[in-house]
Amino acid sequence: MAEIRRTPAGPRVKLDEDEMRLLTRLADDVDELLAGTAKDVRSADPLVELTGLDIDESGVVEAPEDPALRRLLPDAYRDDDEAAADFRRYTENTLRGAKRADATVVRQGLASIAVLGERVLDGEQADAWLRFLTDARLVIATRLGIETADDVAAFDYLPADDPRLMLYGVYEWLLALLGELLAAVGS
Amino acid sequence: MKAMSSAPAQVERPQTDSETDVRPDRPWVTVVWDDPVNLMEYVTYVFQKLFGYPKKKAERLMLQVHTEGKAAVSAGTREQMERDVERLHAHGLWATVQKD
Repeated sequence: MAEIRRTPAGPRVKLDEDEMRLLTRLADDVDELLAGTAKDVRSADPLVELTGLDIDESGVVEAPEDPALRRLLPDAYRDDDEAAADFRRYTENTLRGAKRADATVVRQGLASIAVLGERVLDGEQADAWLRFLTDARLVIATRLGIETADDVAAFDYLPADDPRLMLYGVYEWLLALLGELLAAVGS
Repeated sequence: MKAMSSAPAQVERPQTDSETDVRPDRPWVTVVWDDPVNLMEYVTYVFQKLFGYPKKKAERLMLQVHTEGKAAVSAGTREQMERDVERLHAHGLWATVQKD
C-alpha cells in the first residue's frame, strides 16, 4: 500500500510493485496522449527553438478532438473562438511540454523507488507529482464520462460486474494518493 | 520546458483583493470553472501557490468555484490574465480569460 509521509526534506513516497506498475503505465499513457501528432517535429526548426513560438506553417493549431486531451489543453476563451485559437497557437506546445515533463518527473521518481524502496520529493518534484496525478484523473474522468458530481455519485451504484469499475477504482485510488501527497506537502 | 512550473520565488505576488478590485487598469479577469474531478484541497493549494493568496482567501475562492460554478481569481491586463490561465491549465484547472 502507498505510504506518503511528511519529512523535513519533503514528502517521502513508498509504493508497492503493483502501484508502481500502474503509475508507470499511467505516466506513459498521459505522455503519449500529449505527444499526440508529434508537434515536436517543429522544434527541429531553429527559429521555433529560438522564439519558442508554437506556430506551424499554416499558423493554425487546432483544438484537440480527443475530449481527454481537450480537457488537459482547454480553450482559454469561452465565447471568442479567434482569441482561443490565438492563445492555443502561442501556448499549446509549451503546455504539452510542461505536462510531459511532469510525467517524466514521476517516471524518474518511480524508477528510484523501484531501486531504493522510497523517494523523498523536493518541492518542485512534489508539485510535478500533484499536477501529474491531477492530469491522470482528468483523463480517466473523461474516459468514464464524468462531467458532473452526479456522474461521480452514479459510480457508487454500479453492479459489481460493470467493466467500468476497474478504471473507476484507479480513479479513486489516484484521488487518495493525491490527497495523501497534498497533506504531506502541507500548505 | 517547465516554464510554468512553480519555483517558490514565483509565489511572491502582492496580496490584494483583486477579485473585488474594479479599477480601470484591471479590465480583464481570470475565471476558474467548477469541475467534478479536481480535489478541493488541491484547488486551494494551487490558488495559494500561483497567486500567493493567504489560505483563507484561497479557500474562499475555491468554495466560490464549487458553489457558484465559477470565480474570478485574478484581475489585470489581458497579458497578465493569459499568463495566469496558462499556469492554471498547467495545474489541470479549467480557466478562461474574459473582459471584466
